[in-house]
Amino acid sequence: MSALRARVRALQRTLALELAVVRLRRLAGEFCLQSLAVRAGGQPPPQPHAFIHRVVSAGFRLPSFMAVHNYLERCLVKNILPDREDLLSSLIPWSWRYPAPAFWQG
Amino acid sequence: MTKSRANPQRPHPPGSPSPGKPDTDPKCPEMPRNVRRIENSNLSHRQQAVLPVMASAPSLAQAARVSGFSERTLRRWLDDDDFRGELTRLRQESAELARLELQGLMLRSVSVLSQAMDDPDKAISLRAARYATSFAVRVCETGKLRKDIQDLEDALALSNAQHSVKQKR
Repeated sequence: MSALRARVRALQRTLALELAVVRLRRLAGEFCLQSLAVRAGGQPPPQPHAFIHRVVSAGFRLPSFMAVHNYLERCLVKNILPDREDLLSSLIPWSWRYPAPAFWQG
Repeated sequence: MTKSRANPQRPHPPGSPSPGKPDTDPKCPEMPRNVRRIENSNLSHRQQAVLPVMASAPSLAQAARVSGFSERTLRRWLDDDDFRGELTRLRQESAELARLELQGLMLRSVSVLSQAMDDPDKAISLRAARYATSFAVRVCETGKLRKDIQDLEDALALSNAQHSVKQKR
């Protein structure tokens, strides 16, 4: 079991950037879906700090939280739904290098 | 004088027709079931009959004793790729069945552990608590490991997608 755990950690180090993209894209997708569900239910949309709190809880400390906050605030003011890929690119601007595979596109 | 190959003490192998009663396919009554099975596989009837015994026996010697075939014959058949492949498949199926059975027993064992934790004897309740804690830690660790591996698979797919996009450019 410990050998398996060590191998997984080594792979996590090798694929660190891809893992960050995968996890943050998942978080962004969940937030967008939640925003959609909340709007359909006629409730107030989730606040930007809720998403940032989720990202921090997942273990990410990024210098782009202000940009994410601004993007989500803009969405709230314009009353539009946040887009998963836009949210991801404001979180990690280099995410354009990693295309979303077809089976992940919601 | 030729030696008869039939062994009266050999047990009736599973899946083969019982003596005096032809085993036929219900969809095709005029054709014996085994004829079709042999046609679909490269294994002989005897090899197919011994496969379930070998998959469940703990050793080759025991499989030979139960099936009535000699150990040497079984060893010779094990050199056959088709036979070995089919045996591996059967063993994997058995292992999967055992895993499902163990999963079913898990809830029962947890309830036994919780009963033992209420035991008036402090030593028994302490030991049960220790088992329960170590078991819970292992279950959590396995769950986290499974999630990490799933993430790694996704990351690998993403990395491959990135490489293919780069190549297209």
